[in-house]
Amino acid sequence: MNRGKIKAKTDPELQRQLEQTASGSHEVQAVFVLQPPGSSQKFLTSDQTLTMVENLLHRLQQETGESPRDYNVFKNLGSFVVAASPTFINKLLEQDEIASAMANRQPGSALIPPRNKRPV
Amino acid sequence: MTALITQELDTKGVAQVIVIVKEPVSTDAAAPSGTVAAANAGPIVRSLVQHYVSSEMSQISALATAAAAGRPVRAAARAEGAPRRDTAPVPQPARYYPNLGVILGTVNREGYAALSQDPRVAAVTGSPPLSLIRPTRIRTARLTRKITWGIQAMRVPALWREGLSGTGILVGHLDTGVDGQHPALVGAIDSFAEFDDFGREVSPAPAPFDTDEHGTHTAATIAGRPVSNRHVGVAPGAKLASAIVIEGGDAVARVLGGMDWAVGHNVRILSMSLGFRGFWEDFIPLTQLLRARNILPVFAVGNEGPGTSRSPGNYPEALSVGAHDSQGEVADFSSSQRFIRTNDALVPDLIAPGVDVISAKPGGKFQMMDGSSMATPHIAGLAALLMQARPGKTADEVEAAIFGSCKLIPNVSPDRAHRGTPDAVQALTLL
Repeated sequence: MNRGKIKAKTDPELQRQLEQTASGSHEVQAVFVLQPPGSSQKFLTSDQTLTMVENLLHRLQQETGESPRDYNVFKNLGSFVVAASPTFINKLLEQDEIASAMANRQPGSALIPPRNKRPV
Repeated sequence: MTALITQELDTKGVAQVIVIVKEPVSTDAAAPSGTVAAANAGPIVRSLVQHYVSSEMSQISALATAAAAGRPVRAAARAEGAPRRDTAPVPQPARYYPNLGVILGTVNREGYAALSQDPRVAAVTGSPPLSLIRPTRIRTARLTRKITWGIQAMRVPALWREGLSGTGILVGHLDTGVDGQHPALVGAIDSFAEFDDFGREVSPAPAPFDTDEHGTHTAATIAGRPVSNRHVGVAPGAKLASAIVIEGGDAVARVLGGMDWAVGHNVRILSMSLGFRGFWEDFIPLTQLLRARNILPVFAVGNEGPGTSRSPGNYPEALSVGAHDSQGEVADFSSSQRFIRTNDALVPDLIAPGVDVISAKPGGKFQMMDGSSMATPHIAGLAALLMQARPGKTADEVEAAIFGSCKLIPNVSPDRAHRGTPDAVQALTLL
């Protein structure tokens, strides 16, 4: 279950946030994409996603003694978001169930603003 | 910053960097900036510039060329035997700012390594993406045409005459929201939701509203109903599953919440005029999942000009859309980028009407906007018409028909327009 300190693919912003908050008590919010269990299965079903996330978080709670402040599962997308301490997030990154992770809070905006706007 | 440079080199083979030179900055009267060919560039700078490369992905090159020629970035005609129509100077690989002592440009992996180790260099950092700065243009216009130029350009009315309107097709619309009271959108919204920064649906769900104006505009381009016999919507019979997932500074989970919800609503098409700058691999599995569920992901490529793009629009799995004007020319601001990958290396996939696009404005009005955000819903609407016409066809097949219908007009660079502009009549014929 533990890939042994080898972290899942992490975006630079999440790395930065984890380093920045490591010594403090602030939480980090990260979005995780789950790894389907076998090579023959490309995507997780909704039920599989929900079960995998519940089992994963429960296991880590047992191991670390910590709990995430909050989490939300995107059952149709095989992914979830967690708000937790850097310790907990780093622990999640070590798990085999995690394919990749990125910071929930990203610099910049996803809105692609129009270049010109005028009334008609 | 190093991680960003490495990421760019890994995905594109080149990266935009800023080199801070150790050479003393001139204390004389401020010198004009210019390329290294400028007389005030010293031998050290000229030597360092050898490590830069000219690249189609270089914003410096594209902007400098366009500025010098006083016209939109445009390549020479590709027709065989056609004379090269290029009166602009050959783009320089880098720009030197003598008053700042920095060099800005594009490097490959070897160039980056050489600059990083050069003792005359103080630092090499990543460069934030440059944006074309368009002059603010304010002009009044009136909704006088019965059908917008963009809908006409795609030959959509011919499909309307066949009885097609997108009826029965549900299109996912993730944006700033939508003004459900607008005359063009009454009856168009099947379901509406708002998501918070943790991707949770706000409960109870509010009545459809727009936190901005962007969402109302894009929604009406997809499925706007005629108002006083004037049409702004490509698929005026389609319905929208619309959700608020952006309004300025954003959270990834908010977009995922909307995507998850849209998938749960069994949308056939997902239209997103949004994206994060650069290339983010993390959304790729999610876009693949949309395809696996037979959902056509129609995403904007971005408005930051040549050599740029936004994720998820720049994924091979996305149907990425750039913008053209009423003459068929690629808009200056329309993003385009070539990646090092075998599958669908060039984005956008095609271009669609994205300049002077008239659509709905909250409060019952109309307004004109420019952007790849405006081009994207044209394609989402077109896909809705085709899916109504051929309900048994898959999302991949509909996309293939749209691609097959595309035409590149002369003198428009494939590097900027890729396949060109779609033709609704031809697309239907190909299905």
